[in-house]
Amino acid sequence: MTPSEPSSPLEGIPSRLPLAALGVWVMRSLIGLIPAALIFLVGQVPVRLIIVLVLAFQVTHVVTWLRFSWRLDASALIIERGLLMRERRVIPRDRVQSVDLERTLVHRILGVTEVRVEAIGAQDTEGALPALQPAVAEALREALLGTSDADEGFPVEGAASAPSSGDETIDGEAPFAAGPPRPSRAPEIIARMSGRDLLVAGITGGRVGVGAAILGLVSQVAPAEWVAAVLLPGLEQMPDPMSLAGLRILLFLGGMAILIGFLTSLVATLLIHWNFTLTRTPTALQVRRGLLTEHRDTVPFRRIQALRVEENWIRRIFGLASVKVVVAGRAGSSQRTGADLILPVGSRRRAFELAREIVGMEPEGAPPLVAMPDHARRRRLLRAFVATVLAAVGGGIAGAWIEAWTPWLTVPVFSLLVLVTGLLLARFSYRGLGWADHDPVLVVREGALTRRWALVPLESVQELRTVSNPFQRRRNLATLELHIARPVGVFGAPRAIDLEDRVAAHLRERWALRLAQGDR
Amino acid sequence: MHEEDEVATPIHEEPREPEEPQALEGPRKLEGRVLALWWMVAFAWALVLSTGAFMAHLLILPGIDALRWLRDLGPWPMVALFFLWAIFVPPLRYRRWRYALRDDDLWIRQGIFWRSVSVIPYRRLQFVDTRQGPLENLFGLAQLVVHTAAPGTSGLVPGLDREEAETIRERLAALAGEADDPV
Repeated sequence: MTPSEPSSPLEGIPSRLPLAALGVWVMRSLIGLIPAALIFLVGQVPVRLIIVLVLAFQVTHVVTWLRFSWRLDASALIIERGLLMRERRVIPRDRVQSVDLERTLVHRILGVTEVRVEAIGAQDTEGALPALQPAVAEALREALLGTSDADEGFPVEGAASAPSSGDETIDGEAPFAAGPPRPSRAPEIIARMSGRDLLVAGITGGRVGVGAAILGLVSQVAPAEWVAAVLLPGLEQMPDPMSLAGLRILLFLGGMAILIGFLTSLVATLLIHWNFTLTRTPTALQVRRGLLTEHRDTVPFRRIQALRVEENWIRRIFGLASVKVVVAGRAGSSQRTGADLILPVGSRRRAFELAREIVGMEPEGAPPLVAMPDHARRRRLLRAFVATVLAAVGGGIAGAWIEAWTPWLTVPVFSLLVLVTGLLLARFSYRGLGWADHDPVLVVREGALTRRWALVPLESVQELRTVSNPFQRRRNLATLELHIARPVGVFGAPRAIDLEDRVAAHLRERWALRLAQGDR
Repeated sequence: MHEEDEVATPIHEEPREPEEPQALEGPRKLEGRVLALWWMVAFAWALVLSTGAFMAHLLILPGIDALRWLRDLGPWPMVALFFLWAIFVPPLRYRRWRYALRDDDLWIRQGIFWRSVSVIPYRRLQFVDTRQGPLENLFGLAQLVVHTAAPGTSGLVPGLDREEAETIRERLAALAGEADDPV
C-alpha cells in the first residue's frame, strides 16, 4: 500500500471531487465549444452573447460537480451524482476487475488523474471518477485491488467462498500463480517497448483495412467529381477496370489505402502505446503507456480469465506476436483503447514466454498443439471447391446478364482466382487450428490469416459445450467451446474447431470432471 | 438415430464409445406439453410469414420485371415450405432435447441442425431462475434459466412442468451451494 495521508473519502466519508475536476470539465467543454463559437462568429452573432452562452453552459458543470460525491467503505465504492435524477452507484469491492488511471493533456495541466473502475458484468466502465489528486487515485487503486486480495480465497473469479485462505492460492493449483509468492517484493518490469518496437508494432499492425475504410468513406461522403478531381486528375468518369489505365488507377487507389492504413496504424500505435511499460507486482499486472493521454492500467492476476496471443500474417512472416489479457469486466472500451494489450508486439518467443509465465506454465516458446483430424482439412478443401463453383456460376450469370464482358474469357480466369484463393485460405485455416491440454491450462488456436491462440486455465471455464453443424457431422467433426467470463461483443468464446466428435465429447467430459473436482 | 450418442461418462483414458452419463437421474425429456406449445408458436409464425409471402406477391413482385419467374410460381411453394417447417421442426426439436442433473454438472443436449451438448458445472452457477411467459402459463409450463459468469444465458431448459421447474431450481441452488464456489 502506498503510504498516503488519510483522506476522508477513502474512509467512508462522502466527499466531492477536487476543484480541479470542475476545471477539467470546463476546459474540455471550452475546447469542444470552439467550433460552435466559430460558427456563431461567422454567423455574426455578437461576441458578448457567445461569451454569455458559453458561460451559461459551464453552470451545468458546476452543478454536476456540486452534486457529485464518492466514498469507499468497507465493502463498496459508492458514487452518487445527478441533480434531478439522483444516481447512486454501488460497486462491491469483490466485483472490481481492474482499476485504470488515465491522464489526458487537460488532466496533466491541472495535475489530476481520472480513475476508471471496471467491475464484473458491466457493459461499460462501471465507476468513473473524472479527476482525483494523484495520491488519492493511487490510494484508491491500492485499496480496491489490494484489500480484496486478502479477502479472497480463489484467484480467478468472483467472491470469497473458496475453502482455503488467501495464502494457499498462490502456490496451489491457481491458474494464475505467476511464479512463487513474493509478497513484499518490489514491482518488477517485465516488458518495455522502445520507440523502434512501437514502429514495428504499428507497421505490422495490419490496419490496412482502416485505410481502405477511410478511403471508402471519403469516396462515399465526398461528391464524386471532387474525388475524381483529387484522385484521378484528367479523368471524367470512373475507371473501367478492364482497361489498362483503369487498372493503374485502381492499383493506385489500393496503394493509397495501404499507405493510409500504415500511417494510421503507426500514429495510433505511437500515441496509445508510447513509453509502454509492463510491470508485475506480487498481485497484479500494471501497464503504463500513452503519449498525450497517459494510462496506468492495473489488472490483478486473479482477474485474468485467459490470455490471447495473436499473430497476424504480416507478423507471422517476421516471427512476431502480440499478447492480450481477457478480463471479464473490461468492456468494448478496452478494445478500442488497447487496454487489454500487455505486449503490443514482440518476438514470438518473448510473447509466449510472457503469456505462459502469467498463466503459470513453463516458459518455453509456443505450446505444442495437436492438429485437427484430416477430415477437417478435407472439409475446408471441399468448401473452397464449392465456393469456386458457386462463384463461377454466379460470375457467368452476371456476365451474361450485363453483357459487359466476354464471359468465355472472364469466367474461367475469375474462377481460377477464386479457386486459388480458396485453396490457400483452406490450407491456412486448417493449419491455424489446434488444441492442447497443458494441465491446468487449455490451449486452443484458430484463424486463417491471423492466428489467435487462447491460453485458458481450466479454472476460468464456466461452461463446456460441443457444437456440430450438419457439414461437420458428415465428417464426424465437432467444435468444443470453452465459455469463460469475458467482455461481451469483443470476441467469441475460445474454441477448438473441428475436433473428431468423439474426442470433443471426451474432452468435454474429462475437463468438466476435472473442473468439478478442482476444489475438492 | 442414435438417441444417446453424445452422452459420455467422464472418461479418464482414451476416448471410447460413450455411455449414459453419471447422473443423479438419467437424461430426461421435456414435458410432452411443450411440443403442443412449440407447434402453436410455429404455426403462428407460419401464418405470419405466409401472409408476408402473399403481400409480397400482391404488392412488390409485380413491379420487378426481373423476378417474373418468381411471380409465375405463385406464393404457394413458400407457404408450403413455411407450414412443412411448422409441422416437422417442433417434433424433431422435441425428440432431440434432453437434460440431466449429473453428479457435478447440468447436462443439456439440443439442436437439430446445430446440435450442441452443454456441460455446466454446479460450481459455476451464479444464479438459477424460472421464467414463465403467458403461453407457458397456458400449458402449465416453465423455463429454467441458468446463469454463469460467462456472458449471456448459459443454460435454458424450456419445457418443464411448473412445479418440476421449481424443484429443479431449488435443487440446483442447493447443489451450487454444496459445490461451494464463488458466486
